[in-house]
Amino acid sequence: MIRILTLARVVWLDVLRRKDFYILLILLAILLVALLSMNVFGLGGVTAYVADIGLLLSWIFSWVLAISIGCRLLPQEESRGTIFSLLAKPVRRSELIVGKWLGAWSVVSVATAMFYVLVFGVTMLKGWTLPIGVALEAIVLHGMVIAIIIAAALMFSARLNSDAAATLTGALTATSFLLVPRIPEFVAEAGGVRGGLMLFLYNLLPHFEIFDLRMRVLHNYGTISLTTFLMITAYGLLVTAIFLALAWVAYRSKHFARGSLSGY
Amino acid sequence: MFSGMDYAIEMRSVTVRFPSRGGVVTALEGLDLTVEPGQVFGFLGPNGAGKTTAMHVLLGFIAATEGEARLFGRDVRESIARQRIGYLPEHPDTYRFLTGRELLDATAALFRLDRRTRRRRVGESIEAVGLGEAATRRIATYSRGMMQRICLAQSLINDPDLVILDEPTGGLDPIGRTDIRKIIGELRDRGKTVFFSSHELSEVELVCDTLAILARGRIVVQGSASSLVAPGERLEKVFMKVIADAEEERT
Amino acid sequence: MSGIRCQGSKKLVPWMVILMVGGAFALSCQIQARMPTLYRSNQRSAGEVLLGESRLGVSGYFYEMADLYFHCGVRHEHEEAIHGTWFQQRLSELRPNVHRHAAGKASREILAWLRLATAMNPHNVDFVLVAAFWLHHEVGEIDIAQQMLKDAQVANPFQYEIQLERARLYLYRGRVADARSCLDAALAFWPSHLAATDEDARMDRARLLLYRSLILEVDGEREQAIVGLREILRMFPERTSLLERIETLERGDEPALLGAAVWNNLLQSEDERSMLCGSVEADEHIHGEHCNH
Repeated sequence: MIRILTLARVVWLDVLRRKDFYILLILLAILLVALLSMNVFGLGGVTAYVADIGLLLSWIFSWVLAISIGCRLLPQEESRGTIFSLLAKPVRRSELIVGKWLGAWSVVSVATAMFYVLVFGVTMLKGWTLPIGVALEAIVLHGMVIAIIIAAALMFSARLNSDAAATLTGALTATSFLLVPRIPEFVAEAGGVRGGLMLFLYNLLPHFEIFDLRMRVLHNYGTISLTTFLMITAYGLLVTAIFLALAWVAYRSKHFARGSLSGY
Repeated sequence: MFSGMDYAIEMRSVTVRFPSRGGVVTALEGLDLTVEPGQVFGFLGPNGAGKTTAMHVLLGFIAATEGEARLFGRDVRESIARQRIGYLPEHPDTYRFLTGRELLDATAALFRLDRRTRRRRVGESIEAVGLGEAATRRIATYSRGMMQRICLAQSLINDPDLVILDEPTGGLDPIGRTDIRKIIGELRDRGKTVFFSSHELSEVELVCDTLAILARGRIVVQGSASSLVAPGERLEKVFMKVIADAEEERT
Repeated sequence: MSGIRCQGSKKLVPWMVILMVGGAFALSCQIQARMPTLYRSNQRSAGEVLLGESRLGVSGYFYEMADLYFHCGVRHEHEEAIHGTWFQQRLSELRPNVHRHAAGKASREILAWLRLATAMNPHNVDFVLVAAFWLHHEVGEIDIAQQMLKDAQVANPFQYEIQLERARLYLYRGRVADARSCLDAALAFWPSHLAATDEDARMDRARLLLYRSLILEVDGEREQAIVGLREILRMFPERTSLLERIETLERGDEPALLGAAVWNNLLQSEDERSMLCGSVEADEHIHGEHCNH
């Protein structure tokens, strides 16, 4: 366990000492201020839209952050050559995968929580009432989405370079966000092979829509039942575990060589 | 297949083949190698001989196509085999966003050293490689020589019984090379095993107890330095002759 | 391997960037000061400039959000081919599904989305009309609604619907003369080429004529009022209730329900119809395609 936590800590320090996260936080703050300054027909007391757009931006930014961080974790070790020093230690490749995932997931989750705090803080200052219970549930379930995205990023980057991995992870997760929830609708109109393909995607791809509690938060619908919350969390853990297992399978037999074969 | 003795390194009939565009490339062919504990072992060969491949097999980066390798009796494929070793790669690089101290502490944690031991070992390693105050600075600010030192410190943090060094003096100035020789000497005095490859034959002559010369994936000669290099003779001359003989035999 | 970084050049880089950006800004100011003033037929908003044509899609998104907020987060349901999957069951437990309409403070929140929708696409008349409706009917800010319509008219000078809505708001305030001017303009802008094909346009013309006829009646111009009412009958012969009013006016009598009372009833019933859903609001149900707003 200590090896996994050590690897996670190194990822933390890497991310904190880069500028990605801070830039997104500042960008979010600027956009929120711009939204607040919007003239809503000269009326005051209108704030829910700021929370709505703020939460949407939080999802987008955390998605970008998760992919950009997740996809460079493993390739960077190889391009820097630090993979050799690392694997020369008594570190199993499974521990490496889990440690990297844990570090990336924890730092992006904290960043996401900070996005939420910023959004809620700004809107509460303007008079919006925050439903705390469902907001906390929303943050936790959003964290599960981040876990899945980073696991997928690790899976792809186990064998591909960071750019290719980022493209595939982005495509996979964007499809899961945007297309998968609407497949039951599309299948109604399609038929035959197309319908069959869509059903295949529906069952294969992860479903992110069940982690999205923004509407409940914004319209104050209250917390979801504990059973539903636990079921969704369990699903998230399952999908994450599957992606991490695939990452390990891809990585465990990977040979590392400096440069071309002439390096030996 | 393996002897009952606990050699520091034991390789038996290790063969490594890589697929390539032109067919299959054999990097190592039936390599037999043993290194006794407490020795300083020089692993020599021209470029492309297979030295780094052999090291990568020992470190578990590459799986041997045939044969087996062990470190202190443990199969190299087990991660626990690396608990007692330290490794310095040919072009060392590390996490530049960390300070020297942070890197060493993290490395020590990977060996599951407790906090108190980690603190002590970090201090000792920094002193051993002569980094001093630079250890509190980010590695990104280090010079080439300092980078070499911190990577060497990293390879010694767990007080390894076997240290594997790949071209440890490459790119260093004479002072740096002297420091490396000094460290190797200290390790030998403490009963550690040092296994290193180098093209600096003059350095090898000064420190090694035992040598092996590799050519085209095979060991062509192995023995004590005193038996291979006659008094008054230079290792370089012996090396060139051995390689030439090996080439002639092949053709 | 990656070389030693030059400390000196690392410190210089931020200064060079600042210098370049500052220099570029100063140069652009100088260039602009020396350019002749160009006539621009359209003032384009920042959204139009940044987003280009994609702003139309963004505008549509904001309008949908307004609808979503009107229904307190309940989405329109669409026909689906598969049902009862584990994911759909979880979704039904998560998503807001109590059909109700935003009221009180919550109804003001819709305006932000309508503001964004109209800002992104000021030429979408439907968005403008819905925004005006919400401003005067739900929030009670009739002056703001009127101003908004005036601004929209500038962007859409030949859209009769905006003139019609302006006229209605003037009637709410009792400004009959202003209402009459707007109705005259609306009738002038009404697209006659749509007479045969567009049912909505024909219905709107009937409304325009009715309001105008009622105003003419109140102003004592009965002949003109009768002409308008007859035109409605020509377009919609089934509206036989108008016959009685025409006959009363031709006799020189006062109708049972005076013009002002009629247009007040008309204003209210039109507003109520805009709020209706297909079902009784008190019923808890999933909002669907059958809801007609």
